[in-house]
Amino acid sequence: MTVAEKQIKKFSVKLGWDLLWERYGIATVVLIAWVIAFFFVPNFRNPDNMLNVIRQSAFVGCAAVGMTIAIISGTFDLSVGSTLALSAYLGLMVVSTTESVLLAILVTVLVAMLIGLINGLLITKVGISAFITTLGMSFIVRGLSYIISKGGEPVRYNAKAFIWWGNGSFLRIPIPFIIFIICALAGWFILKKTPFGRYVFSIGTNEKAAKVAGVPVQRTIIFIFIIVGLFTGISAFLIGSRLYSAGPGLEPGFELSVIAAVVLGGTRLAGGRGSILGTIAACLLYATMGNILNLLHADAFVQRVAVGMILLLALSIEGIRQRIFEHSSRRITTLEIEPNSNEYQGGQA
Amino acid sequence: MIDENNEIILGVQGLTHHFPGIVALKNVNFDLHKGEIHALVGENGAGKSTMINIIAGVLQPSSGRLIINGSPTTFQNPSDAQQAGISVIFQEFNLVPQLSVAENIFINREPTRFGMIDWKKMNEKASEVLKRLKIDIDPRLTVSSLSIAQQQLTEIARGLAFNAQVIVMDEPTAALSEREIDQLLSIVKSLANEGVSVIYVSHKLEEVFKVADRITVLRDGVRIITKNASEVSEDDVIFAMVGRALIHGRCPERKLGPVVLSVKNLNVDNFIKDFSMDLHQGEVLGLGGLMGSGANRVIEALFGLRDSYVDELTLDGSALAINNPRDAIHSRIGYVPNDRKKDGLLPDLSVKHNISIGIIERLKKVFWIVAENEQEITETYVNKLNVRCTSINQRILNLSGGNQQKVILARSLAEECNVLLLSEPTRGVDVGAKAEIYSLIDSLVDSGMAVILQSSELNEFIRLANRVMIFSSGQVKGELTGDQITEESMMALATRV
Repeated sequence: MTVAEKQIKKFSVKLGWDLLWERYGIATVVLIAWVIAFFFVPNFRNPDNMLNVIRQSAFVGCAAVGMTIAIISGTFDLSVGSTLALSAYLGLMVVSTTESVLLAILVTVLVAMLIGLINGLLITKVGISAFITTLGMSFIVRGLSYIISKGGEPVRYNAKAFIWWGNGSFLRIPIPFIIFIICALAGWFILKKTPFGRYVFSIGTNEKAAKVAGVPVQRTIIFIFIIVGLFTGISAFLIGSRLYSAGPGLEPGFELSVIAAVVLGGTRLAGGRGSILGTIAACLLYATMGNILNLLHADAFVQRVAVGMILLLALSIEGIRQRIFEHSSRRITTLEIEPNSNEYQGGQA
Repeated sequence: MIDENNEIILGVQGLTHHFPGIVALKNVNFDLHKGEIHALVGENGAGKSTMINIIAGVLQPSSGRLIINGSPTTFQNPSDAQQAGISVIFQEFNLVPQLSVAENIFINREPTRFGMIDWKKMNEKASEVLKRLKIDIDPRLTVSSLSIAQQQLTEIARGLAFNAQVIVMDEPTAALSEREIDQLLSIVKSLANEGVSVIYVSHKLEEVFKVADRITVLRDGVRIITKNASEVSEDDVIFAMVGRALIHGRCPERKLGPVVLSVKNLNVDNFIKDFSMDLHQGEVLGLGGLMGSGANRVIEALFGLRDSYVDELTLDGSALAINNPRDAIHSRIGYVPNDRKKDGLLPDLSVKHNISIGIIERLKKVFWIVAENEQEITETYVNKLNVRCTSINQRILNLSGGNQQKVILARSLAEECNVLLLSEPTRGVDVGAKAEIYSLIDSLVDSGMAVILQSSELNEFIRLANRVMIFSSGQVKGELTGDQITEESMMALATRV
């Protein structure tokens, strides 16, 4: 029995390493990338540049917090790109006519949450799949923003109180990054500390069993989409403020960047597992790579190729890692049964 | 009965297998005569699966050897074993559901003509094999349209089509009803009469004694006994398996209290019509019947998993409406589903989170979970139910079947339910855990819980229930209490049309 227990310990340590990699792997990669860039990429170590990197990470980052919650529950939202454009546009219209930043924040966020609510209702009450619902919604919302803007003219507004949110700093730390970290803390709290968060994980790992265990599946899914809207709205406001403007064609492919960041951060697309920390790290990694390529004077198209390659590389490492781990975890499963029956015997003898 | 002089077709000598750091098999000897049915029994983790996997060529032993027809052999992979005439039917089917029965039987070895599959020949050959097994299945049907029992038989047919000399069956009756089990057992017997040797792996001793010529018991990777089935009793075998005698037999005296749950005219799916019952405090009411008889639907309807219509449903005298599992849990009705993997486990979550999921809203302050309370409650139940895990933060998927089942039970208990609906509470659970679950149910009922039990094992009713209602095609065919509850009386009612 003692031998068996030692073995279990040995393997739990292995298991621990695996969990460590799952939790902190991508964060480690970011640190390594920073260290390398710090020494080898000209101008990267300039503090202003590094602050710029973390500022850039926030725009995708806030929306990625919401998307992390959605993907952990086993669903996702393809409409966040269009939602971003419409809500940012409406927010800018409001701020440019009323000059009230508070009202602009409210409109931007509420519009995005309303779209989330509609998504959630269609998925749960009508029963259309999340893929189709949010794909359809992304066309509708994008179309609506072109219709409202009467052909695509962006709205501009550059009052200081407004552009401060995207461009300002507090104690040199960029405001968008502070907001991103607040969003991430909120997301972490929701996932780890509230019953709702527990429901998100349960639905993601086994929806039927979650239902049998009394989880309010439909209500949870509706809330998930509202939360995705909330965080997308925050991203929309920050981007509008950063650019002093917003048009209906804002940030094409934004939804895919967001999903890519979440998946790169180690959240499993099938649901049940994932972390906000991974998402933060992945957003920082994207921003860092973009920045390095800029500093090396690579053009925007090369940057796209690079982003795609990072994603594929990261996920193939993940795939290989999981295959290796599944192999050893199968062993662990058998191992743990054996000593159990040993213990049992021990108790009887 | 086997003849001592009969040739040994498969021998295993000094078989030892190490998994990293663990000895799964220790110096095991085993032999199989021609035409013999040799049962291999043991608790989960006793080493049965390891041994089957070695015989099937899936694993290579650390030491020891296999002797086939008198000559030492090593298998590098499963197809070597197949070549040697060994066919293994694993618990999980290896059938392709979208293909026909004939295609599955001849998968990878389809008879061809001009490089194309010769459908006519394949179907004819498949019919031949099926006829030999006295199975009435059209080989052109797709496997997904077959019942579980028919799929099981298709697996066996596939084994035979390889001209297998040895068939290894791993828990072949886990998903079958009583009647289907009998059919399967008679097929196994007739195979043996034709000279095929069978290694029969099972938890269910009743079946083992029905078919086996000899019985080998493994415990902790060591062979404990090999005996002719006629020379040992069931209790001897259980003793060998668990290392102690198991309290078997009838249910203890139940002290019934007032009516807790009362159902008047429950209708489910146009199948269950006007089902009524009163469940008392301290009672274990069995709902029995063959597979598909409707007993399970009643339980699912009571838990809000099926649409149903009921004239009157009262809990402790007050009317009640249950539209979904959430309503049921709020009314302190708990449920342990029969398909643990599909309906019970939250596989990626820890033991702790699996237990607390039903009460997580009761554990919150303002809107966050109070971690200490969650820890305390889950630890209480893990200790009470003797769940064996390295920590409550261990993933539930890494526990053995019996311990997973205890966690699912703990979930209902943590909900502090007064009525517990148990559907196959000991399916896929080893003998030791089974005994623990039985005595747990006894103590719960003693302290005033009311239980509705649905099971396909008649022994379970005899052991636990003070009253049994037997269903057949959606209707209650009779009610038995106390000493009336015997296998014969229950079967008689269950088979009444």
